[in-house]
Amino acid sequence: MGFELLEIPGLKASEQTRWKIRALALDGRSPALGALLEWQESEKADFKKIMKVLRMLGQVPRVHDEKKVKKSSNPDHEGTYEARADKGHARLMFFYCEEDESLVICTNHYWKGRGNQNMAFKQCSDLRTLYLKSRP
Amino acid sequence: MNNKSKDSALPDDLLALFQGARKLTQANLDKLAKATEELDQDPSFRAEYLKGLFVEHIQEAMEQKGISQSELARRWGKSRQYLSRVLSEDRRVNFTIETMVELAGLVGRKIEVHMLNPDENTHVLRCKVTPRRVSPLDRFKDPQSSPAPNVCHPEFQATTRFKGRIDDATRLSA
Repeated sequence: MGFELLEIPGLKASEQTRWKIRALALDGRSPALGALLEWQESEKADFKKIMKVLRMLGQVPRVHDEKKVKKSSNPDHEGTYEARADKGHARLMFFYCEEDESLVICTNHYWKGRGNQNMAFKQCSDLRTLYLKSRP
Repeated sequence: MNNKSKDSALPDDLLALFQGARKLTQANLDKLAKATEELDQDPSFRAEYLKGLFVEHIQEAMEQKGISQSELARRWGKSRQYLSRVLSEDRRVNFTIETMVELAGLVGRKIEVHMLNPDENTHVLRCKVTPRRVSPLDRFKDPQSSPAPNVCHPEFQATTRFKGRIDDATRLSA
């Protein structure tokens, strides 16, 4: 499949003591990192909020606050979550991969009000399935 | 799923998702790293992040110990509504050090505060601490060679300070 896992630039190892946070990439392109870059450039408030959530994600077994992390309630989207900019619009989709290295893998994103949450969860779920199948 | 493209095992919609993403360059990644690291220079960001992390640790401890919000509120001597505001980081709640120490203690945890240089991090190692007792008389004989009483042996320090980054993130042991 050719998937790569990329570090989130600037996230410290001390902020990833429970889960390593990675972005899924293919041929040097990562929707998650692309979104973070765009938000850092033009939606700084949302960028800060999402980065706060990513830092917390890496240090606790699960984030309880649904204003920060929401699990999909659709049984067809098993194991998919969205990191949320609280009172903002940015959403970064991810899943946990517990089997090998305790990873949180960020896949895609959407912008509340402009994007389609159900589609974003579906794409994350599909990527999760493909990624888990592609592991040796 | 949609039809798969001929050149890839990825469905067309997912292939389009990746092909439509920005090509990552080293300059972009460096810019993102710098912006991420600079967040720590914003006191309000850092404070909000630490508060959020504290609340998550409290909720983790509550789950581990089977303590409900009602029970924790009762132990704390506050209303359930007030505790709920604390756990939802309501701006009306004053997050004092006293509040944090009290709550941590009620769920069997403790708070430590470390002042670090910007390039330092702390990493917590859970291990047994063996205090080394020193006879008061020994200290008076040779104060230079005898450490203060009840000082933890350096090999068993519970918190390690280090500079730089760990190449491989380390999970805390249970």
